[in-house]
Amino acid sequence: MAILPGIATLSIGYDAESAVAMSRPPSRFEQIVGDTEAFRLMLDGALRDAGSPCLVWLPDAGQFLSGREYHAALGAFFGLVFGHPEGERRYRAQAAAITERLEDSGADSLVFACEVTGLKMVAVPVRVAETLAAVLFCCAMRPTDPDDDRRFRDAVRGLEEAFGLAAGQLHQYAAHLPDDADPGVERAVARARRVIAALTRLCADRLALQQAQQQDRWRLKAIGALQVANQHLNDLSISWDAFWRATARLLEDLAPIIGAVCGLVLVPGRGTRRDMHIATAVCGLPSEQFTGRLYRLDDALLGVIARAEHFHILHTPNDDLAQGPVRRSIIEQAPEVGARLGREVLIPMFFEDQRNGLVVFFLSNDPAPDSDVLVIDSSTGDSILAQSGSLIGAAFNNRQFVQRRHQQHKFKRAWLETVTHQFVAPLSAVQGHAELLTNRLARWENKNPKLFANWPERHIEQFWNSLTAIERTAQYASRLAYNFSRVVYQDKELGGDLELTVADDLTGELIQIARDFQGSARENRILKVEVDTPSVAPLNGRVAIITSDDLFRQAIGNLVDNAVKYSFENTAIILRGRLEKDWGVIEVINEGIRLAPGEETRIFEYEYRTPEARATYAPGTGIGLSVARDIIVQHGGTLTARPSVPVRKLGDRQSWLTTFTIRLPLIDSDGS
Amino acid sequence: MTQPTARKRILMVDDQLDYIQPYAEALEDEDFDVTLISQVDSALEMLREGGFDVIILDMLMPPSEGVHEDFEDLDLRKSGGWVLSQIREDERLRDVPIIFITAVRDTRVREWVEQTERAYTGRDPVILTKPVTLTQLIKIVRRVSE
Repeated sequence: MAILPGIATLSIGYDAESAVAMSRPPSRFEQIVGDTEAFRLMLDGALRDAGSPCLVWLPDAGQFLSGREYHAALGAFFGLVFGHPEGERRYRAQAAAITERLEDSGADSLVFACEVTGLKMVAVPVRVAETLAAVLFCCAMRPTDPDDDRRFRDAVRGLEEAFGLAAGQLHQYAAHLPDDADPGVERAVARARRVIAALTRLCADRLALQQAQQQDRWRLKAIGALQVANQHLNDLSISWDAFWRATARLLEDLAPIIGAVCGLVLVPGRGTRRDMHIATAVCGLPSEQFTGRLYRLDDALLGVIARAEHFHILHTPNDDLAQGPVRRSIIEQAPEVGARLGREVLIPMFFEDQRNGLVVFFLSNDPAPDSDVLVIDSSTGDSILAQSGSLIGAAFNNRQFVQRRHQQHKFKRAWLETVTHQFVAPLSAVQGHAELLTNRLARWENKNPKLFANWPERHIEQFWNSLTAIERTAQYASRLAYNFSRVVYQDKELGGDLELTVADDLTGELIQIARDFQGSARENRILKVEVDTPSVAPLNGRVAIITSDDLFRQAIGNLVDNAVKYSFENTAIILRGRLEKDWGVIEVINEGIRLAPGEETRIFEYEYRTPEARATYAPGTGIGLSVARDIIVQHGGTLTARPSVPVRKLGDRQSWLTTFTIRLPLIDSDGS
Repeated sequence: MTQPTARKRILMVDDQLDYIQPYAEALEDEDFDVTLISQVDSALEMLREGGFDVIILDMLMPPSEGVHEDFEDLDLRKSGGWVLSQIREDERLRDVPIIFITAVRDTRVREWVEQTERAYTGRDPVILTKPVTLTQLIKIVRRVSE
């Protein structure tokens, strides 16, 4: 036993409030114990029998824990002195020195004494797993020697004066100290050791409990991550991008839980030599174990590796992975992560008992000894990782299935397009021939009235009717075929991936559409097709459109085409925009024939044309607006029309203002 | 030296001559001098000889052998877009109006044609989607040839 001599001032205590006020980080002991107040209560039982006032000091935080019964007296006593800044500084210095000596010397106890008060304290280390977790101080108070006792009382009075306390106030606290305290240091040490035994056991139990709770928390977190991923299983099928993003997110969630540096998904490749090399050398497993399928590394996931932060080690079935190309690839592309790569955990991806891929977690080569991670064993963590493998395997299988279906649909669509083209071109030719014949015969008949002299009158009439019918029918049929191809586009089942893209330049998009129709507008003597750009500008970046297959352009184009056909001469077609609550609104406005009340919903019916539209003889099939509406619905929006309102007289005709309104859902500024 | 003629000369290029015959006839009726041709290479030769006021091109045509290696995309190789670039490369032909006629709105080809025409001439291309009436075509040819 060592004694620290010459401590000239009273030892000064420390309270929890000041620790909080210092905003210190949690100590190692607190990290282990978690709820220090609960721990203190558990200590009460152990300290109650100690016979002397006891304090437990956590060396890495300077925080005291003490037996409940003595806490009030000692806490108040030390608290009086604590208000003295110099006293606090000196006491902290002493406590740090004691801890350092206990750590360095490996001594099982130290005794130090305060010359002023005669107070003697025994410092005993509390070690948990060979780590100095706490220091137990047992006080040997109130010396029985009369001289010492007198000196003690004098010192207390001196302190009272120094701190401006009333006479006897400090002594009153000292009086709370147990009268039967063993004055002998050796006795105090013996008692301290009894407490140590209980305290060490409590620490160990608490540590085990804490670790078990931590395991439970990780397991719950892992299950939570799996549940989230499971909820988005269908979303994973939308595109390969979505699949990789979602699986990467799952791996990111799981990596810190099991203490992995990073995770990768290896999926079936196309059977190339490189894939074969990776299957055998990288995975370290014969390809036949994966039912003959091969695997490739998806480089996109290296981004995930670079962002990974957590590290630890579990187990590996095969050390050959150490020199594999996957590892080399990681080291080349993400050197910082590569430097930490340890061993691997391989998790098969399953779908209906078929392996269809492999999840690889790379573990750290420098695991922290006291890291709190989910320990993977056959009874706990393996089941979570197995679930991950099954989940990713199912998502991967889904994605492959959807891709195959999309490919089939794309093939069908390409075939339908070809067929459509093959119809449109000859029908257009038939129409042209009929129109040519009509024009020429009409001219010749004008020049030569006897051209049809020998024909019966009704045959002549029928002849002209037939020519006109051929021309119009061919035109109708070719337009129908053309629109049919448009209908094919807007069928999502056939159309494949119809992903929405934020329209950062909606204004430009609308201007381009308007420009496309300037020619046909001029033919109909319409003054202009114009975009009201200031009104559209607020919508830029706030709505999403389907750019694939020009679907959005087609929808707006159909509306403009409709406007061009039914506008009067010398009018304008305007595309306008505005924000309306949660919607971005685009309006197509024209001045021309009337859209009567009651017709505003019927015009979106397939092949419906209003009587007014039919009366214009403008070519139309009644499909364009229906297609436009369906496309806008696929944007998550609506397309509506309002009955026309009268504007003015143009010649002998009344002109009407007609407005078609598209509402697209607004996107938040964060893109959601 | 060829004497200038009052009749506007039009070159129509389409691999299906039957389909554009009525358009050609209608334009002839309107006093245009129309030449029909189905081979891309021959069409380019004729154009380089000069004298055409308007060119009418099918947007999708079979590729000309051995001259399209610089086009990696098969669909673009099949397109009149390639012919457009060949025409616009020749400074003498840069200002000759071109009207495209197509039966299918192939987005990529259309975009390629638009970009090429804008790059060379600063103008938007004239693209007509079938069915196109004779009257419509005549109007547009008149407009672009003025």
